Amino acid sequence: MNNRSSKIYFDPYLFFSLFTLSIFGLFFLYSASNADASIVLKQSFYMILGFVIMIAVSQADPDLFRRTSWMFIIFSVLLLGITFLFGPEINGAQRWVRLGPFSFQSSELLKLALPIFLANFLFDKRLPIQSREIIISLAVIFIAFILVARQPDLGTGLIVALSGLFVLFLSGLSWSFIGGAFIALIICSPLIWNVLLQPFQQQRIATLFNPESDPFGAGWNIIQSKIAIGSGGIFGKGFGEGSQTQLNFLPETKTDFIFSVIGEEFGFFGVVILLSIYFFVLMRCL
Amino acid sequence: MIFEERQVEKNNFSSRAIFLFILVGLSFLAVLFQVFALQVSRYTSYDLAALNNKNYAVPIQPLRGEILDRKGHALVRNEPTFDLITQPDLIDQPELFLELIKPVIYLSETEEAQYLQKFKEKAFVNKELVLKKNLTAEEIARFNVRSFNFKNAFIDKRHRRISDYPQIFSHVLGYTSRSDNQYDLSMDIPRSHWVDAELTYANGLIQGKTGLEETYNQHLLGKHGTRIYEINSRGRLVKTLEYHPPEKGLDLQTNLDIEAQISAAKSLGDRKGAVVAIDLKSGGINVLYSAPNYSINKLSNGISLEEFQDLIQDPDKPFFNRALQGRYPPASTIKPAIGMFGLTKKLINWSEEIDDPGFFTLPENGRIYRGWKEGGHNNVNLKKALMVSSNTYFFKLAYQADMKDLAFYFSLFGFGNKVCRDCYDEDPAFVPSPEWKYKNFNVPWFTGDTVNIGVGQGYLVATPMQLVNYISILANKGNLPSPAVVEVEGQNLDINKNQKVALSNQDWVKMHDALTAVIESDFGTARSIRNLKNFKVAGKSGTAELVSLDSKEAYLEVRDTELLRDHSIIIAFGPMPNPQYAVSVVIENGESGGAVAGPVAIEVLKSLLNEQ
Repeated sequence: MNNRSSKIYFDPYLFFSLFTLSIFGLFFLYSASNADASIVLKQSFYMILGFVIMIAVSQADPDLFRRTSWMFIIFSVLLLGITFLFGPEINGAQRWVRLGPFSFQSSELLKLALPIFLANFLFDKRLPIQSREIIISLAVIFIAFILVARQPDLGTGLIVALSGLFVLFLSGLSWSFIGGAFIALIICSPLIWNVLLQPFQQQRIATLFNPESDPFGAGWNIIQSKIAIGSGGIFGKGFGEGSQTQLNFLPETKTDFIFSVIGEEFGFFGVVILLSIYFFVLMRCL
Repeated sequence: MIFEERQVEKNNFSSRAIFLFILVGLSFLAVLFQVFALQVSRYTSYDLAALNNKNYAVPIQPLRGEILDRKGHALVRNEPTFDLITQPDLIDQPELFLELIKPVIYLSETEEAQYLQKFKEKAFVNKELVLKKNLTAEEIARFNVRSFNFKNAFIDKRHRRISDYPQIFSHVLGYTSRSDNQYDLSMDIPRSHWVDAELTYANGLIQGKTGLEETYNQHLLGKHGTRIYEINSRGRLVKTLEYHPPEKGLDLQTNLDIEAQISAAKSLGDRKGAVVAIDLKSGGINVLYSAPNYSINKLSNGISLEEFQDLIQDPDKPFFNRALQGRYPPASTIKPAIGMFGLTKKLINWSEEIDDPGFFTLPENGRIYRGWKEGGHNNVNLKKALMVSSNTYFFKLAYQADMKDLAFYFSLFGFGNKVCRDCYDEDPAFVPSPEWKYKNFNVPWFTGDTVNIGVGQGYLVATPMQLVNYISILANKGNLPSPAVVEVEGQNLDINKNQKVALSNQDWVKMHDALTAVIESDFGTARSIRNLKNFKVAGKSGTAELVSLDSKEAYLEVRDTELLRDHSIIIAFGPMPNPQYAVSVVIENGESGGAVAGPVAIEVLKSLLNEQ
């Protein structure tokens, strides 16, 4: 460990692929924002900031994370609390918190804090993990999930829960437990659908499977997004030439539907390259 | 922690990591597979969907063809007018804009209100909006001088369908009107886009409603052009991608004659009636006039509701096309056909005479059928019977006829059928039959009914169009191409191929001779018109009784009511002995046929023959 502190710890493959992805991202953003340079400039600033933080954080001894994981998760939960108390309501949900000129979704932090906390919690336990640890871990995951899901932000809540469950899985959760939970989930699914899901959530899932049922309402986004991707063809329509993107048939091009922008303007070819880089990044991390 | 335990832990972790690796790999493959399905397998349909999203095609209205008379003069043409058109998306404050433009262009309060009402929507989608239609020359000049102040407005040409003879040709030409369901669905333009059509006419998308405008709508219409806009998701027009210009409609060459139609209108004056004239060589219709009439310019380009109501409620029925739909008893004008029927059936010949005491007694029941002249015409043969219009002669002849045979013979002349090839809404009028009478009145056909038909009274009715068709067949000695308003290409004008009625040439000559005597001899019933012209004319006049009366005294009483007075009819052709034109004239409640309708027929013939 001592020799590490003398030089900068740096994975050139990971760095290069992430850097490529980010640069691509800026290009796509430029097209998706109808050639708005200021948005791209802002994003480049965040990107550089992100890389600086990434390199800085990667220098630290992993023990540091273990020691501070308690503080990290408490800080995240506190932020969620602040969001709940002071966060502005946007589209009927309180998800954002403002810090000076920046605003960000407090739940994002939990995506990192929860797995680090669990990893630390399970680090010195006997394997295979005992039911007491499982119950505690699941309880923590459940609390984190509920905190996010009640903002309401079911999607992020599920991702947070999943990030915790992955840690449990890697730490050797028994297959029979996983199988049992899965079967229980299937059995409970009618109950979840009818009791826990709001009508708008039910509708969103229904339109996912049949967007044509409401082409100008709930299905509009899905249909337009499929048209955008499908009309890209093999090589795409070219940078800034996607009619679905440029004429605003595609909603939320800068954020949720940026993948459709890429599909439309760069085609199957572009999608394959993009996914390859993503896959490489994931594999590199595992 | 023991090393072994660590090792187990590590192995366990590795196998779980490989499991996740495979799971993630499969998810990526699933995404790639789905993207492949969208972008490669189903590319064509999604590409089309994207094009349908962004391409907005609108039709461009073509100019209609003109309608020409037989000498090539325009009967209906397209007159340019000028509209002030604005681009609302370039106007920030419509109220201020109106204040600025009001000193330049007169605007009524409704025009202002309508403009402001539509303003927002048009501005939102970047479409044009007409502020003022039909600018005056003064307004155009004022605007042009100040146009630099109004970058968001311009003057554009819009047409109106205009006739220089809007009244006299109203029935035959017909009018156009805006149609909300005029789509050319053969074009690749969705129905909903037609509201955004680029207009050539001030009155919008127009189509023929009546007359030639309707019958030949397809011919006149032309072909719509197309402009393809790129639009965004809110329907705003971004730019033009493609432009295909419209094609002007074809002109319509008719057989109509402006001068002859004018002379028909002038000589009929303000009386109600109809005049139809035919070119005997071609069957072309030169005059098709009905009075009273209305202005097709007003009907085509906008008429106030009040004026329109007045026209509809007018007891003289100006919209009623008497030339094609008026059902009149042919009266004495039917006598030549009865005579020819008698010759064909060998019931009579030219020399045989009968005694005309002024009435005919039906042998079955002794019922008396009176002639028009007290005391009768003494000895009459067929020629004299036609010349002096002896009722007794034709009562007696009809008495010997079988109604079925007679009805069939009438149909050879076109009675009971539509005879015009391209007339709008022609009425077939009516030839009665014994079956018809029994079915409708539950009474059998009496011989007396046939006797009445011998003088063109009773159930038999004909239109002025049918009357002129009938006299034309007589004039052409049995042959006539089907009458038509528009020059028919490929119409077989070979006389022998158009035979309608057969008779020996000798009989035809005698018939022409007798009908010439009606006008040209000292005793003819229509001799009063013989000095109105420098050429000889053949014909037959008639007086259609609207009420059946037994004596002249009784008629003098009903005469007080104008609408019960007899209709005056004449059918004529000339110049004799080689006739070129035939004409029929009906004047409602005009009384005595020859003297009233006759001069109208002569004026029309003179005009057609350039013998003014």
